[in-house]
Amino acid sequence: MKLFFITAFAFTCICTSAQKKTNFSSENYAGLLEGEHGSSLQLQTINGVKFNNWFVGLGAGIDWYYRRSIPVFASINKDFLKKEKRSFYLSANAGINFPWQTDNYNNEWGYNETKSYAGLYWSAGLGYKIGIGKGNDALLMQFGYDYKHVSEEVGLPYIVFDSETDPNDRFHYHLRRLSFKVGWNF
Amino acid sequence: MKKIFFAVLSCLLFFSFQSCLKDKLTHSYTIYTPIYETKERVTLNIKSNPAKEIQSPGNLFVYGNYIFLNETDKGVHIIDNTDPSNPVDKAFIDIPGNLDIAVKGNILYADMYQDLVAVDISDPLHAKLVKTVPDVFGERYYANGFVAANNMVIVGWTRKDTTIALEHPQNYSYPGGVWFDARALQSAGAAAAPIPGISGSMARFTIVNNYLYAVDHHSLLPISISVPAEPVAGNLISAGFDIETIYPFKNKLFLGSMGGLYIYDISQPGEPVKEGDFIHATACDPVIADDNYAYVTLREGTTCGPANNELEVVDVQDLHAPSLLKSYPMTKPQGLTKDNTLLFVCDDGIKMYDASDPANIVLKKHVTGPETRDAIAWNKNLIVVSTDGLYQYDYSNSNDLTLRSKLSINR
Repeated sequence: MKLFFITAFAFTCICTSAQKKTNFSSENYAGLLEGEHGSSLQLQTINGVKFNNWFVGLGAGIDWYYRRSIPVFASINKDFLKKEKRSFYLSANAGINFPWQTDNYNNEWGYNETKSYAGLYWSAGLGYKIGIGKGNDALLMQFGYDYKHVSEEVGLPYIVFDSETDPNDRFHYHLRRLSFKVGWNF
Repeated sequence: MKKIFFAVLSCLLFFSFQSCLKDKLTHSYTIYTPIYETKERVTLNIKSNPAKEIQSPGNLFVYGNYIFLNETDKGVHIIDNTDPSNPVDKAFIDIPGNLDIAVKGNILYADMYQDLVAVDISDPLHAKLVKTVPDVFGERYYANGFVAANNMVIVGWTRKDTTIALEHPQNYSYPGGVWFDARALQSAGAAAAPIPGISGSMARFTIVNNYLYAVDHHSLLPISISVPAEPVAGNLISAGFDIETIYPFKNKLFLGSMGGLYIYDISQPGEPVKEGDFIHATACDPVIADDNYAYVTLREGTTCGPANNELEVVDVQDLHAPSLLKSYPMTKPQGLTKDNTLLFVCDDGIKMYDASDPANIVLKKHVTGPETRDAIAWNKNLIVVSTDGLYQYDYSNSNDLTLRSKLSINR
């Protein structure tokens, strides 16, 4: 949470200090997440400002891996090895991963979920950008590592404890995936 | 060529990392390990001991100037209620595994896991055990196949918070520890018996004349107490499923189950006979009754079922064919009690209704507060068990509830 606000603050500062050089930029990705629990789709949109070789923005997405969730994050990119309209870029995102579903349901361990909680989200990747046309439009490709955390507080439907005990168990999911995504930058 | 090489290298690098990635799943829970004591040592301690703090109140039973309040799985608080404005917690009877109590004459009957104990309370401050009848009640159910040891009594539990790593769900098994059965703990109860004392609507024991009746999940057990200090268990009667409470009225027993209301005739006290039933949605449902109507609260929840939260008034004038008269929406109702035309429901605090017309009961007063569990209205004094204390209200003014006292619970 702290990290998210610090990055958001930094983003605001950069925008303010570099107003003359900055341009609005939007990165929109679709891709795959590959991990121990298989492959899943991901969608992301990141919107922010571009200045010199830097891009700073705020993003949100939908992540279908294992527990569907909505990551909301701050993002920073740095271009390097620029050659004409092509360049590599390093990307880092950090923020909060919000659970998609908060209603009761039975998880696969046989527990009845009572509540889901948000957790940390972060990712880092190496991308390649190919400029298209005369404007700033570009095709994006990115490989990277992606982490999200969700937790659930659950109870067994037929088990309860005496007053001195906590009736709920907690499941934590630390999900680590490789990410491959392609996108459009304008 | 260089670009192609770089792209292939990138892909290879990407997929080679995939096998190194492993999701980390953890499960945090509490393990409970039983603390045993021999039955001999436990029974020696079934007597009036110094008062203890109320921590986990179960059912209550009003007997003369005393309130007997069950401490879930631990025993019975003896509260001197001579002055309802100043109740005094006087003593505690240690009865491990106790959930239900009932009183007749000078004898308090209580369950101690599967056993029935009879305690002489002619002097409540010097109560003493007079009889133990072993193996009267069904076994407690525990998760994970745990079975209590013979001739040993669980007197407490040690708890240990634990976190384990999980493998894939299909490979998962619970690593150990003991969990309680839900309803064994949730529907503990004392009995409603008009002559020897008054109990709450969550009762699973009740006394009618010379018989103590006890219910478990699916059985009704008559126990003869014609010689009060010598209870004799009768034949177990299969009574239905998910039975939670029992309430007597005249020569009838009203059994509240998660699926409905069962009415038993006890003209032959040792051989109750089912006379009628009223089926409703699956829910937790304490019941009380009078000559013409039964009042049932339905509560939805994880262990109760998906029913609506409501109060149902059931016409029981024809006991062979009870029918719904009217239902009233509630928040999350639990126990209830009635004194003449005043009906009290534990729901989002305590609600007082004028029930002179059961088809149109009218809310007279709503005292919001902590979660209330059960109540007894008697002699213009309303006793309410809640999560944070034992409250007493004066309802001599039928339009108002005036707080008389509160015995706090120390959790």
